[in-house]
Amino acid sequence: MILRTEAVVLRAMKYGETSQIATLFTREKGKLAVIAKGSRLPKSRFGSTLQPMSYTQVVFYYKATRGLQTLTESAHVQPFHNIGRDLEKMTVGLRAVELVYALMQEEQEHADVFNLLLHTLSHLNDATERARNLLPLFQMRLAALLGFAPQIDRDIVAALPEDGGLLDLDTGAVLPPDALPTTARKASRTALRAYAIFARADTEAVLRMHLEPPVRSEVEHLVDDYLRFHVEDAYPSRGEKVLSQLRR
Amino acid sequence: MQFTSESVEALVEQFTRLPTIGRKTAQRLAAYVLKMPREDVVEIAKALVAVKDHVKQCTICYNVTDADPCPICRSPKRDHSVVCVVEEPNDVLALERTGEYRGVYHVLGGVISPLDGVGPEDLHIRELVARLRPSAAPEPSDAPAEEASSEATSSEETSSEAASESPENGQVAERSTLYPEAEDVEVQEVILAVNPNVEGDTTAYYISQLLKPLGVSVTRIARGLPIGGDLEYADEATLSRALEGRSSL
Repeated sequence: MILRTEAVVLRAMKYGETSQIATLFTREKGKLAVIAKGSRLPKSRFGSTLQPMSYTQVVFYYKATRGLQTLTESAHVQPFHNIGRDLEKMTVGLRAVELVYALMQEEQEHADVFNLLLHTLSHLNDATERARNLLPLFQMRLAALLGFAPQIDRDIVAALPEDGGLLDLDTGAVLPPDALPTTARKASRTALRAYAIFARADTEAVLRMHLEPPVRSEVEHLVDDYLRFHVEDAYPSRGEKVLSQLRR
Repeated sequence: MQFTSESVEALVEQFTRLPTIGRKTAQRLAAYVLKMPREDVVEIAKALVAVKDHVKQCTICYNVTDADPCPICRSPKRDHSVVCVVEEPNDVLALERTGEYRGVYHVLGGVISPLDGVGPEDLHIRELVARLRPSAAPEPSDAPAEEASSEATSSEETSSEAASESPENGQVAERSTLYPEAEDVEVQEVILAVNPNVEGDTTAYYISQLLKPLGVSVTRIARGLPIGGDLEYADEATLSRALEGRSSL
């Protein structure tokens, strides 16, 4: 069956002298690997379309029994030029595709996750400031789509005392400091409030949110810990390590 | 099917350890080796062992070399004020083939790739900064940002002590005497010749952020259409970069 579908490139690795094996997250077939023969030649018809984070329309002959499909065509649907011009945007975008690569099953169609990834990359491309806020937002929404949306009680968040409260890693709920769930971790009030905003607010509101570096770091750790608690060993740590080096 | 000779089978097994060589190709290579004259096989074996025994990394540019510093770093004919940063030693060969570049090199040993877990600390980036401005070299640290800042005072206190004890400083002093051209010329320009892909972009932006405060001019080789290419068939991202990098005639 010849399949034409939209895809976001999750990663690409060199294969042989001139080819590449790319992992795509497609709208119709979910995550799958394709081989793009000759794609590393200077005059390749694939051009830059197999770079991670590229939003493309791809054509390949799909055979269910085959683990590696052969890509015949690939063209940009919307090139995200601005992501490639900003280190911060690149690190956020690469972390987003790494999360999708690690947390989605092979050939598991998931249109909502596809749309979320696309939405994130698109806003990342357009963002003029605070692009880094898009990563925790993406992570929280991905958590919701994967079935573990954080349960936030607005009143509890509003009533948090000055010395902070707790984040229940099991439910994702923000709790007062005197609560005693076994899976809770302590955090500052500012970080927990920001966490609650990431869990509930829309993209525009999140992009307007200014966070001081220590608070930002604390919220990012909270979100990472929450996702890691639920997906355990599947949570990718490679990009996390590199990200921390790049941000030093 | 396996060979009837254990020696041939062992050779096939060894060939399959090489990149891009599958079992079938390994069998073809082994069959070819069987037909080769003995002296040719000995030459190949000697070359393989010599590569491991004699080849080392240049302590200035991290290119592969038989003598340290490498011939490029100790050449008085090269322009030591221009450093071209490349990913791998093969990229040095590619640039040397052009015959256009007369500066020196710095080999990173890879490229920043978050998806593969390769970060700046896995590459020779710290060494590049040290090469440009020895006093500006960042201290090696595995601590995260917040911890690093809180430890800044203590690392400043110990840096002078560490510098005097470092064996590499001894090497630098020795090199300065033998090859003054490699050490005395202040670097004016750093050319980033990394591949035009996401990993290359990440590496280029990261390095340029690090080098800007040092007052060195940081440039990147042009990206765009290949010679003999066709505008009609170029993708949007490539064309866009080609337009950005246009030059006046």
